[in-house]
Amino acid sequence: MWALIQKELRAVWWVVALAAIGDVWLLVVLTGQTQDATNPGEGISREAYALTQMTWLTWLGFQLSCVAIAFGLVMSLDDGLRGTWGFALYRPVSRRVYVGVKLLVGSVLTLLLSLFPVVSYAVWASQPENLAAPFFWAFLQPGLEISGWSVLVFLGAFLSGVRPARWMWSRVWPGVTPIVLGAWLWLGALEPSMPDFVVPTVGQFALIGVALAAMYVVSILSVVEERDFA
Amino acid sequence: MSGSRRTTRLRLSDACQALLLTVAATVVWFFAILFFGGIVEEVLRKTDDAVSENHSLTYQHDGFPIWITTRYRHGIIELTECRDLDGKPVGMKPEEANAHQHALIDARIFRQPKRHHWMEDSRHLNFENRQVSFFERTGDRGHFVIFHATTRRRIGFIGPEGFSEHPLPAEKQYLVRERGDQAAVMPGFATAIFYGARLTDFPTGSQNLWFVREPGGRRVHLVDLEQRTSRVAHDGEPVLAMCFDWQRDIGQKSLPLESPRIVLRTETALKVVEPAEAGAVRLVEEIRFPSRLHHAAQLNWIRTPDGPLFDLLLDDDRHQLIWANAAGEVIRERTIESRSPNLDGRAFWMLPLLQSPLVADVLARVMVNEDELNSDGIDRAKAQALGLIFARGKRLPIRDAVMPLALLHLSTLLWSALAVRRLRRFGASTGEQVFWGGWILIGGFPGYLAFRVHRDWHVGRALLPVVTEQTGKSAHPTAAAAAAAAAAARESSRDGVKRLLVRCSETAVLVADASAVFVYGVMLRIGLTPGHAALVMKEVRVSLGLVVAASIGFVFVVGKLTVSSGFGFMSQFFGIFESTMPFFQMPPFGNLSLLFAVSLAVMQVMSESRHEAWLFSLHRPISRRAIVIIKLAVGLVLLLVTTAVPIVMYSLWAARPGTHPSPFEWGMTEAAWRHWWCVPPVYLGTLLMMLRPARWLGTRVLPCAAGLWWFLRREAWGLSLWPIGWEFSVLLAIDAVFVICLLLVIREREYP
Repeated sequence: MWALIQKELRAVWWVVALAAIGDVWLLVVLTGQTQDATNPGEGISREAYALTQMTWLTWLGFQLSCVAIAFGLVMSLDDGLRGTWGFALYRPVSRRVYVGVKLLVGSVLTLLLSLFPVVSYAVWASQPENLAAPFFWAFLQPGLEISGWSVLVFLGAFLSGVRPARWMWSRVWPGVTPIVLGAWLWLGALEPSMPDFVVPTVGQFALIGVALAAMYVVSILSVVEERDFA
Repeated sequence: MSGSRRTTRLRLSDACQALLLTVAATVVWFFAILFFGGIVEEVLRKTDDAVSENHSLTYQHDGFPIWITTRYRHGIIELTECRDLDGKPVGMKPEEANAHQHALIDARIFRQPKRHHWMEDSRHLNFENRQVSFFERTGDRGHFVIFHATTRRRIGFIGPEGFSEHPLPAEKQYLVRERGDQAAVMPGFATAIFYGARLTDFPTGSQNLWFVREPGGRRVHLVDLEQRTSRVAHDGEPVLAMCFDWQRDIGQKSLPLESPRIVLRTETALKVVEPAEAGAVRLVEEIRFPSRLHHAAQLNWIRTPDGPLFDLLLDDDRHQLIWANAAGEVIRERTIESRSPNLDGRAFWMLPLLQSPLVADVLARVMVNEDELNSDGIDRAKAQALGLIFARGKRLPIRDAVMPLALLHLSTLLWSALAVRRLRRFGASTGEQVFWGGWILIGGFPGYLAFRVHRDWHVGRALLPVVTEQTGKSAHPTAAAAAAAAAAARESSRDGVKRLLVRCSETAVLVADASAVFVYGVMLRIGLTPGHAALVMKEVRVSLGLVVAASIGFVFVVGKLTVSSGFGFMSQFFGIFESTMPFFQMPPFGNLSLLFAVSLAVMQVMSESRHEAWLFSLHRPISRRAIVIIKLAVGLVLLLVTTAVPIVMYSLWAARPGTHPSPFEWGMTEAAWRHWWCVPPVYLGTLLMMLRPARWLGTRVLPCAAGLWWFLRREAWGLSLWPIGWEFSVLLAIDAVFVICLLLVIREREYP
């Protein structure tokens, strides 16, 4: 098992490095350590309060989605590109375990790298005189929701990677679904004009996320069981 | 997926994929509808002038109500027509509008959207004069907190007794919650907009003035964040709503007041007060309003020289105008109805086009009761419980929706039947047939798309014996397989769509061949050897598809810029601006040119790599250098010609008299040509990136990045201000460097 985890970590180390650089850059900009013009959103500055700003949360969602998609595609396509599916599937572990380890490693890495900028920024912001604003831990809600949702984006990208279909047509569909639903839920969290009857509560949001994640895992395992990797 | 271990049982993963794929299919389908709907709409439209007919009520300085009826737009010019209540045209300049329009919405019905509870404890108010202000709640009490924007230290706190540098104890803070009733912390400007009300265009004031209406409304505080003061604006009869009156009248003009008057709405009257000395307020006037307005959720008061005018919104289309005196006696009233082309019952006939029953049912529910859509910030249930008159949104009669929805649901039967038919043909279990048939009745056409793509449905797939996991035996007898093979073959031959696609691709290949042969002939005529001419022909043939695609894109962009009928839909997808003066702003050819340059270079190299043709090419009796020079020469010529044509077309259109109402000089096209000349470095950089043997995560992308960086940063570096000859020369030098690098790479690289 540990060998499989090591293998996956070796395959995605560069994604981890890029994501970490992105996270650090985001933190550097948000905590006002630079006046770089590459600020991700107009109006985000040390004086403003990023945790509750739609601009920052939008950028965070975009960046974390990119990372999650990269993880999903790299982990699902790596064996195909290197031609190692045949080798891997003839090891004395079942397909389920092999793919399950991939999903586990990818989900944990995505979650950690997504939580890192949100929690780090919140810890920084909670210190007095770091930010010209009061701090309440409840402000973490949208950031945490985005971080959690990025796991679904990872699973969607992974399913797109392993599904035997055409890239120009339905292969990308499973990857599109969490992004579309995430945009809807994100609008519900931030946009007051969204009608209440189409917006879930916080608990419903979490339930939808867990249910979708379960559906993705079931679908991925099923596709991997059926697919001919020859 | 032949050879896979697919079974025909219905499994959990089928249900999961049905949901996941249907969501994506719905998005794909709706985008397709939007795209093609936009094209059809624009082709049918006779003129590109955007005309909107939208009746919105406004008031002249003397209180005369008028409709703003029609807005015409051509490019950046907008014209507005106004009519009086009897439909006669009237003229009104913006400065002649009445400056005393106040929307007073009952503060009791304000509510926080249900996913916004995380914002409850602190609210960002403003950021002015290097200070940042928040309203911070601590349980049932709250206070204003002011931070220094630079030092990020708390400057102090504002409570009912005024400013303090030290944190306020609970008893010295504002009461914000009592027996389930919440305080309203409201800005002193644009109150109606803040509450998401239907009226707009209200006078705005400073962001520093805020109201705090305590629970119950008996006490209202006026807080000035700049002066750091708080005074009691009202103490007595419960106040339902409040706003400022910022304007004073001088003749026919209105000028802003230095110190605004405060308008307080109680259940029966409006009280206008103004700040006085020693933190007190002075009553300026009191206006009682007619009894029928006592329960208006939103009271619109317009001050006129003849007395108060009240506008009671009955619904989206109807206003009841009530002229009264200060004692609350009605002098005159009139109910007026907007003639705006709002939704009517015919709109339901768009629903069958969606072909998604679930989405259509939700939309129909919204159209039948639009209030649900406009529920932002207002608790309508509470308004109803309090017996308030609330302007209801447009409610379409549900009977109008019956036929369209019936048609929609019946049409989904077709998709369902098609799915079941396919499942039967492929020997699916009854459970699977029932599931997908039912799912498509809910998901409609997107559900059917999801069904088709959730697994491979190759025509010959039914021939393969389906191996079950349990037994490992064939599920189809040989005779059945043979019958299925015959049926599949028949289906294949009948598939008109596939035949059409094949025919189209064959025609495209013929055209490409003919073009390549023509180019070959031309190359021979200008003296190239047959070997070199053949290489040119090959490169042209590889690039022709991209050239055609880019040309179509440029035709669309030029069509949109020249305000040609049928191209307006472009702005919905690519955000092309409209300008009445050609080349006044940079025409949006750059992005498409960049995309074309990068794709062309990638295509030229990938066509060799993907078909493993490098070894074949390099073993022809022609040098490597000649191969790469021909490749980039053909690419450059195609790139420069393709990207120059739209600039020329647009210039020729602009130079023709009568095409646009602005002057044109050929010199105005200089910026476009400068951009055009910046594209070759991007192309050459991409070509170098594709040919260089380096790591993608290392230095391989640098040449492309360099070309793009130049293109994107030239304005910032001030290169666009250089004389055009200098910039062209510098770019030529950069091109030469890229070409030298390319020749070096092609000479030294090893090609397995």
